Formats: sequence, structure tokens, C-alpha cells
Amino acid sequence: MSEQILSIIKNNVLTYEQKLRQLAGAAEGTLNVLNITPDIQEYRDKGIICDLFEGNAPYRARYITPDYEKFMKQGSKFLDIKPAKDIWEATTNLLILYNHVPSITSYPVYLGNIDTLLEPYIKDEEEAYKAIKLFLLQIDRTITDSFCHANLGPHKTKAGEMILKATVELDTMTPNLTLKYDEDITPDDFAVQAIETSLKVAKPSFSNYKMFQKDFYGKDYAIASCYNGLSIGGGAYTLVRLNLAKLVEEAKNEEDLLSHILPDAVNRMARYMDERVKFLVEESGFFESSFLAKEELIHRDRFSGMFGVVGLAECVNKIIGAEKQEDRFGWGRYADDLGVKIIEKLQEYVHNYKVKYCEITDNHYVLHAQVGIDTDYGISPGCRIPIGDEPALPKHIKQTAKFHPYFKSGIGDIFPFDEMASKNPESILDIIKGAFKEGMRYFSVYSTDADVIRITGYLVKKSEMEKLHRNEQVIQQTVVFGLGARENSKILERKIRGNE
Amino acid sequence: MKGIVNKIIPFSNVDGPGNRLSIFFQGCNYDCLYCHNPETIEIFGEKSENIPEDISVMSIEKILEEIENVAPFISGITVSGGECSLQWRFLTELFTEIKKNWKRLTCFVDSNCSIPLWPEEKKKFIDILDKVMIDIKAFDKKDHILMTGISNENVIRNFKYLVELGKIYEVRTVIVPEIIDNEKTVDNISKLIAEYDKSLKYKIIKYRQNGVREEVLKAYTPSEEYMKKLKKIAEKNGLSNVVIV
Repeated sequence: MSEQILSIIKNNVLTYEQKLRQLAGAAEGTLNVLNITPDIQEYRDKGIICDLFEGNAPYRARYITPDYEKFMKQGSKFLDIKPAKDIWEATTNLLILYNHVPSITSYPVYLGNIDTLLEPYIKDEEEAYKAIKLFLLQIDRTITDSFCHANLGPHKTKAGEMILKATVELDTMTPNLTLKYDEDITPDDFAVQAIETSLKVAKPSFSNYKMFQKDFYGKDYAIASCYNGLSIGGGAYTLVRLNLAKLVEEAKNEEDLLSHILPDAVNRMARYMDERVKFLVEESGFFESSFLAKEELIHRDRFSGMFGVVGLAECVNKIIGAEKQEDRFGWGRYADDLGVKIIEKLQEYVHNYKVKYCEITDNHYVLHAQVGIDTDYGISPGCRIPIGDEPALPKHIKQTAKFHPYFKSGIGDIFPFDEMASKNPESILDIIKGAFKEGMRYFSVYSTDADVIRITGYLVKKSEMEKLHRNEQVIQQTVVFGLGARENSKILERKIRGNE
Repeated sequence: MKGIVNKIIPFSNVDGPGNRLSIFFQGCNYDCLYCHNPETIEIFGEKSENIPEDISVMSIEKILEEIENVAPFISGITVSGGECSLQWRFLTELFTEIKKNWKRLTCFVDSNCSIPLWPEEKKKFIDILDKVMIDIKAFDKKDHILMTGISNENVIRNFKYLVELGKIYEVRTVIVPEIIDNEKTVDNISKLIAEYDKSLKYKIIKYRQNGVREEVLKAYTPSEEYMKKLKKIAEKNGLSNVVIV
């Protein structure tokens, strides 16, 4: 233990902040307060269940999505902040609050719908642009983690246009951005500007507004961290993932997997999640002590637990023994149908497991297609088709769209485009419109020429990964994950889209 | 009726506005020195013998099936070639069916515009198509014959006919150095366009060797500076939308 702590202290590649966070994690790691039964521990040891480094004693929710609209209206007693009167006060107020919104990374994973938050304060456009650009610069240099996510849209606003423009000029990794897109609300010119921005700095991604609205019972939603759909004024207590690529090793055949292994694994993982949620809600005192809860910027009953899943493709290929590409997930009809069947069953088992404290999601956990971790080797994110096996774009979109309706707390796919596409961004908008009609929930684009690229859900600069590769310090801790994914998951080898 | 098709690209971002399905029809009446896909030149009939395997004789239904697969993702279709207008009867029928099935999809024609499009028999074809991308490969008749094998009288007349109907999406000229007087060509073509519509897109395209038959033409790609010089000529004649590709 003390050796581990000393090695963190003496690690010269870590910045001071990164050391501090690792030291806190090491301290939490000494505790043993969760009641983990042997059958749960067995699956944790095998890597089938993984809590994604959430720590041994949850003392804050993993993802917190405060109601920033409310904060703008009421200010904060605890922070002694009055509602803003102009753009400078508005951006400053938000920056102050961001500093006090915890999460698994210790940084805020959700910054609000920043265009609609700032739009009322835009009077003099030149001054507003300067304020917005400084606001974004401050976020990038102080929230040094690209799981930090801001939302835009679906309406076109002056603030939205300014945010996109400044994002290109600043060429930053943080914040990650999502445009809530609805063909009937978002005008084409704004959507095209968003795509042009994406081809330069790999963001914003597009979320299917109609689909999310329906899933959140007509209420607005937050996109946080990678692409997690969560209730505003709430968040997620925890995210644990089930590694299907490893679970499949436990199954004798398809029937065994669907009828025995899968329901049993769901039960073990859900019980593990229960333990985490229980400690956080009943013992940690988070919801009693946080000013965010006291000032009703978050509500305990708007939180839920995210039931993550990873490696569907490898699971399917393994269980049917698919060797040839034509039989594999993403290509073979049988493989794809089986994939859907597994997810359908998974949803059924997860939804039938009733839980305490998840009122907002009908008293069950919600499915999430987890994007993987940097040490995953040969395991595809969520339900994605493995890199190297991607079919032509129309076929790819139709295949992946089959899985998106099941994952209301997040799923997405990423498509790098060649430089010709940047001359015709409208062509990509056509593809996104079609993809959403087909049932895709979330769509990300980047250009292979750009420095900022999307790794699995978060963004990293290729140049920063190179720096870290040379053992130099980098300001963003996410670069470490990016480099791992570059080495282990072939993320630079994705099929490049253009004419096909 | 059937169409003779060389290939279909389901997603194309270089054949008009937005994402488009592009159909390359087989057969061309030109034999351009710089043809980039000479394999599409030879003309076959529906019942020709010895049609190579990679060329498809396609029914309207078969093409509609291909469109159906990608319809949600595209703004429209573009027919190209070869020279697609040689199969204008088939195109008329195809476009009619497309409009019946998907009102919002536009039908664009990428053409050398060498066959007379103004006669009454083609009125339905012109009515149903949305826009034409027209190649004006040279202005001077002799130059045009040198570049393509035939004169350009029909091309110029078709241009005037279509532009007055508002049916032209863009005009294109490929720039090959040292064959014909490119400055004069761009000067004359841009003057012609400016006479009708100064905001019409004029695309000047750099010659590239890929695909070109080496025994027919061995040339080099013009420099960016040279292209900019040509662009300036066109702009001086009043054109506001000149694009170098």
C-alpha cells in the first residue's frame, strides 16, 4: 500500500492534480464497506463484471447532471451567487458552479445546455463572443478531462453559433459537445455548421432528440460524459459493465447463454449495483450534505443506475463460431439477429429486476452500451461492429440502428470521413437524417485530417497522445485512456467513410 | 425497357448537392482525350451480345430496389456515365417512377449535353429532371473536336435552352495544360454563362492522370496558381461562383 502511494508521489509523468486524484483513489481503495458475495466476486475476478474504477466506497454519484437552468434563475445561497445580469456574470456564475459539481472523475461530466443558458445574455454580439470564447478556454484549461460534456440545441441560437465558431478557433478537446438534433426543429444551416465543426474538432456529436424525448417521457434530457442520456436535475449513481465477450466463455451454447448464463449474470451484477447504490444513498451522506441537493439543483429521485454492456460482437462471433467475415457480427444475418435477441433478453432480465431508489426509470436499472476502457484488448464497445469488420456505410447504419432503441442511457457509433466530405457537409447531414429515421440514437463524425479525434466516446488530440507516448506530461488525464485505446483497440484504423 | 449500367455508387458526396446515389450508365458518344473512365465508352444495346460481366442490364424495378435501400440517407440521385442522356427514354421512365415513390428525392443529370435536348419528344425528360450538370469541354468548335471527337454546337444550344429553364446546376470544364488555349476557353465559356446567370456555379477541374489512357494522352496536372489565374478570368467576366476542383 505505502509502496503504491509512494510510486504515485514519485511519478513524474503525472501532473500535481493527477497525483492528487490518484492518491484519493488509493485511500478509498483501502476500505472494504460493500457486501460483495462470493458469486459476485467470482465474476469481478474474471473481468465479467467491472465497476470501471468507481472505487470501494462511493461518496458521490458517478454522473451528476444539475439543473443549470434553475441555477441561472435562482443563483446559489451556498456559493453566495446572485442571478446574472449580463454575459460576464452568466459565464462566471457557471464556471464557479462547475468547480463544485463532483463526479467519478472529480470534474463535472455535464455543463448544461450552454447555448440556451447563455442566449438570454447576448446583447452586444462582439462582446458576447469574447465572453463565450474565454468561457470555453477556461473550461478546457481547468476541467482537464474530456468526459466533461456540454449540450447544444435543438433550436438554433446566436449563442450556439458562437460556441461552434469559438470551438473551432480554440481547437480544444474539452468540453465534449452534443447537438440535440431534430430535423423538424434544427435548421439545416445550423446543423451543417455543427458538422463542419465536427470535421475540424470531432464535436459536436448528434443526438436523436425525438428518440430521447420519447424515452424521457417528453422531458428534456442531458447528454453527459461520453454519450450518456440522463435526467436533468439527477444523474447516475453508478455505472457497472457486463463484459459479454468474457461472459460467453461461461456458456455451453446459445440456449445456455440466453436462458441460464445471461439471467444469472444480470442478477449478480444488479446485486452488485444495489450494494453501491445503497452505500451511496444510505450511508455516504452525499444527498444529505451536498448543497446541490439542498438547493434542489439535483434530486435524489431523479438518479438511476446504468447497467453497462460491452463486447456484444465478440460474444456473438464466439458462440456461433463465426470464422468467415460473411458469417460474423455486422455481416451475417444470423449473427445480427442473435445479437438483437441477446440484447432483447438482457433488457427483459434487467427491467424485471426491481430496484430501490430508481423511481425516475420505473424502478429498474437502465441499459448503457459502454465504450470500453483503455486496457480492453480485442473487445468492441457496446454493440459496435469491430474495427476492421465495418461494412459499407448504409449497411453499417442499418445494422447498428437495430440496437439503439434499447439503450436510453447511451449508445453511439463513430464514423471518420475523408477530406472530400468536408467539401460537402450537407452529404453528412443527409446521412445523419437517414440514420435517425432508421432508429439510431447518437451519431459522431470526425475527419481523419484533424488533430482532435474521437476515441470511443471521449475526445483526445493525436498530438497529445504522441507527447504522452514520449513520456511527457499532458494536461488532460483522458489522453492516457486515448493512448491505451490507440495501442489496444486499433482506433486509428477505423474504416474511413467517403464515397461508397 | 432496360438501362445499361456500368456501376452504382450508393453514397456519393461529389455528384451534386448532399448525399446522392450515383448511377453510371454505360456508353458514350464522345471519345475524350482525357477520359477518366474509358471502360464506360463502348455502347451496348439491351440485347447486345458479349456484354461484359461487370456491366448490368437493369430494369427500372431493379434500380428502384437499389434506391429503396438508401432512400432515407440521400437527397437524390445523379445519373452519369458514360453519357447517360443517350438513354434518355429510360431516364424519363426512371425519374417518373422515382418521383412517384419518393417525392423529396431530386434527379440530377450529369451530361455532356451533346444530343439535342430541345426537341418536343424530349420535353417530358426535361420537365421531370431537376437539374443538369453540363460539361462544356471547349468553346471553339475545332478545339472541341480535338478534345472529344465531335463539335459543340448542340452543347452550346442545349446550354442556352436549359439555362433559360433554370435547369442547370453547374457548368464544368476540365483544364488540361498545353492542348488547347485554356485562358481563351475559360474566358469565352464564362462570358457565355455570365450572359444568362452570373451566379451559376462554374467548376474548373484540374486534369488528373488517374484512369486516363496513357497511349491517348500523357499530360500533367495544372498548378494551383494556373487554376487561380483561370478563376480570375471567369470572375472578371462577372461570375460570382467559380470553384476550382
